Amino acid sequence: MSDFDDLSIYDMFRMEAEEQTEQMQARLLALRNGDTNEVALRSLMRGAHSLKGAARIVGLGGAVRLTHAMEERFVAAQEGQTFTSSEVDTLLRATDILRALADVREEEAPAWIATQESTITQIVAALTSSAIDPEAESASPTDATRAEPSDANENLSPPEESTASSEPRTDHAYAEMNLRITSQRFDRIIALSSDTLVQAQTMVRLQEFMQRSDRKLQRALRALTEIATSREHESRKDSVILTERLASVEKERAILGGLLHDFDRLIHSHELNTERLHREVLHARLRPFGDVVPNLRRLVRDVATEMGKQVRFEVTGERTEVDRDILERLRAPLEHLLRNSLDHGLEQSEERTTASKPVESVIRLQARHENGRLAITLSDDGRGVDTTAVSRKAIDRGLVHSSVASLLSEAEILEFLFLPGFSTRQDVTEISGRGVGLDIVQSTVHESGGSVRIENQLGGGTTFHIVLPVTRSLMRVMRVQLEDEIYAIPLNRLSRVAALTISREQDGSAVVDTGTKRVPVIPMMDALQSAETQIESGPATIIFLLNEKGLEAEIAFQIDRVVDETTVAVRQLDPRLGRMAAIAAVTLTEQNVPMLIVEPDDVLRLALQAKKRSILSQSTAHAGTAARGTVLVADDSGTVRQMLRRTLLRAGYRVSVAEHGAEAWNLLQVDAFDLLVSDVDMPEMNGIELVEHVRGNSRLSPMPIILLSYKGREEDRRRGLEAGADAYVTKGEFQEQAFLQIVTDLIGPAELQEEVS
Amino acid sequence: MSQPNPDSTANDDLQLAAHLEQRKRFFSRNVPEGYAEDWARILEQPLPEETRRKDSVLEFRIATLHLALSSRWVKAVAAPLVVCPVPHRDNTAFLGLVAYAGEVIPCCSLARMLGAADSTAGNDARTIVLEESPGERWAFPVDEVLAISSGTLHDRHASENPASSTQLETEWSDCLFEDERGNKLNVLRPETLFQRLQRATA
Repeated sequence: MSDFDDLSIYDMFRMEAEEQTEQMQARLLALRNGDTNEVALRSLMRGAHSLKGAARIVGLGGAVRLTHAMEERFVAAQEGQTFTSSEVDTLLRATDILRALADVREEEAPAWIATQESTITQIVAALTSSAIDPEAESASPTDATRAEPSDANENLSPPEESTASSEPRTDHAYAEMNLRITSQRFDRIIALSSDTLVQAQTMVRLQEFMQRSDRKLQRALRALTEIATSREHESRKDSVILTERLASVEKERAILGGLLHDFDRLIHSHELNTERLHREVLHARLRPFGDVVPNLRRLVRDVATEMGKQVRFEVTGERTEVDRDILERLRAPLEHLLRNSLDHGLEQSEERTTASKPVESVIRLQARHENGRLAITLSDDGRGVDTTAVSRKAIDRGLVHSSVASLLSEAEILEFLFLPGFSTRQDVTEISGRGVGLDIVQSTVHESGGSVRIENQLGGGTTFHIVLPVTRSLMRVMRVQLEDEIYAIPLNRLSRVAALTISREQDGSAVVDTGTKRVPVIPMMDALQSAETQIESGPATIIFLLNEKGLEAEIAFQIDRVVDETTVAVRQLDPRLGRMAAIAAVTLTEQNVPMLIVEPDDVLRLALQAKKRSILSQSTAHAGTAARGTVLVADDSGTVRQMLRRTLLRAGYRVSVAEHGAEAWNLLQVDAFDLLVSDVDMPEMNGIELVEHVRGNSRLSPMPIILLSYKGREEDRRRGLEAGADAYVTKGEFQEQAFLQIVTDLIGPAELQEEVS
Repeated sequence: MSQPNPDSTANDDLQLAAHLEQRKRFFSRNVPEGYAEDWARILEQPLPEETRRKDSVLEFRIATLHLALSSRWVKAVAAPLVVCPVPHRDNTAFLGLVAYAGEVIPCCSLARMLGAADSTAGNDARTIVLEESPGERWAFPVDEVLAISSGTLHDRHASENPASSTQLETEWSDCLFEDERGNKLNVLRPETLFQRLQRATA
């Protein structure tokens, strides 16, 4: 049964409306930039016509009238009647209505379209009158944006010239025909394609085996023929029979050889095609980042016009390939950030002039692949964020004590902006200012396994950095053997591979001499397993990874051997597995066996922890003490982390720290802790997810957990406690003695004072 | 110790006499119309489904345990699949990941969960792929797949108890499967099985 069989006619209409309006809007924006061509007009006309038919089927008269007027106008344009910029705006408004209709439920659609009746009538009238407006016909077809608006469209506010003229073309956004397919079905196609590829490669191996057998058979036949010839004098009759039989076998072998030759050509061609098919299928999952850009341009243009600001919107990296699911999730956060920038960030012309800035503001959006992840940067040249005002607001709202606020770094103060309902704006506008938005941006990005941070320059502008995984895409990896298993290491995080000699320092630790320095080395399997095995001195294959900053890490890894370099299809880890330490994703080998792709950041972190543990265990063994009252503190704010660590150390507890939930989860799996104190909002894995992971793990589930957060609303508290936390402490109400009392209640008083890391 | 109250005794006697009189009237009244037919109809009804029902099951063996599982959960019986172990997850019932039909599936040791010996890589070994819900698949190795049979399921309390481990009876199975040859096997309770698989994997 088709995945679409369960959809109603109205569902199909909604899907078509969503798809057609998206394409029409992209084409209309291009039209407005003066890009008028027959192909675009025909596509617009067909889109309107198709939607008209669909609207008629579902009985939405208002939508039929609207699409009919649009279609008529596009037909007129095909006959030479060019568009004014305000007409394009009118058509964009029409597509807005149709797009909004796509989000309305079937039972509510007739009533909803009725509420739009007056707007539809206005648009239809504008389009109908302009279709016969002789003034419009006289406009130059190559200079549509400079044409004067007709009277009928005067109230539809033409956009700023500068915004439109600076926008590059985005042909690829609509250059391809779209085919709608459910992601589940697409995943099944990928899986089948992988299977077919594996089978094709297996057949090649079988064919090679058959050819080897054929060659052996030829040799055996030749030998037999020689024997038969040499025995001719013994029995002529037998010899003749033998020779005849051998000739018959040789004839059959020759036929088989010919078939094998044909099969050889066929099978190699089949393998080639299968590989191409597999590559195509995998690439089909990816979409250019530019797919989301037309809507963003539209948003910038509309909001800038509404606010009377001159804005140039520059986009780079539109061809950066992104997983379509990630791309879909990116839309809302990017729209939020753009609205914030347009409303809060960018100054009005007068203010810019006073600050000696160009009147025209610039918003730059950049997408690129960086270290195997999708990096998106959105920056403006506006006024920037006043961190003093943010800090004051946080104190006023009781989110943080003034003594703590004075210790916070700028980056930590900016983190307050991601809290629900946090806004320094005094007024609330239609655009933004209600303090809803940045928390949604953060949570959406976190849900996608990414992170977001702000870079700020007061008076110079704000930059948002979003990093997301590029899942389900192709990745170049180096396959390495570690003990009995093959692992994949992302090639873009690999600095180099070298044949080096492992030697010992005076303290017994293993190092490799790179020629310029001596670098500590551990077996990579030890980092993956958090184990400590004896590393042997002597020649070894060593790899060096790049750290998060792109620099070669100060620790090297011994591997058993390099298998090869290859491209793999990245598959997300099954969410039922929870967070897996040091493993980023999984792929399938040609033999149809899962192969794990390592997470270089985790491997480096675990390796450094292993080194620290090794040093600590030596010193602990020397001191002859046992550790009790061990607390793990997880918080992405360095200040809060240090404050908690000092508080707990002073009280005599042993403390480890983690910078985010994923690191905490890694530590929890390799070390024993008596208590977890965790922030709620953290990158990689938030506090709620961390609590859920702990409670879902049979070994860790009894461990007490304290959640700490700036979020002090009752629903936040309830959410934390429902996830399984034993206590929920609001950072704004943090009091050292009360906090320590909770700790003592949960795990008792400390018995040893010692710091782990 | 308190003395008996003569008035109280007299009251009790009166109440008893009244009750006996009522009972006498109850038993001597006429039977309502259709009474016997109603009972006959009730007694004709077949036994409730909980105690006796038909099903199709997959019969398999892990070490010395002969088990059955309703075939509605079984997606496939595959040749032994190569398990890719996962760091930090060894020494548990979670064995690692396997690939089946282009999908990566968590693979667990049912043997370890049941406290039986680990499956050996014998000629008869197989991997069973289960589907809890669309897309939610699990795999576990078995030593042998015996058959896919149709037969009768008996609730444990209503049937003879064969020799089996206590853990199986109390935690994993609440009914027995009787095949056409009369063999009886413990049928794994799917709720328990999937819950244990989830717990082992998380």
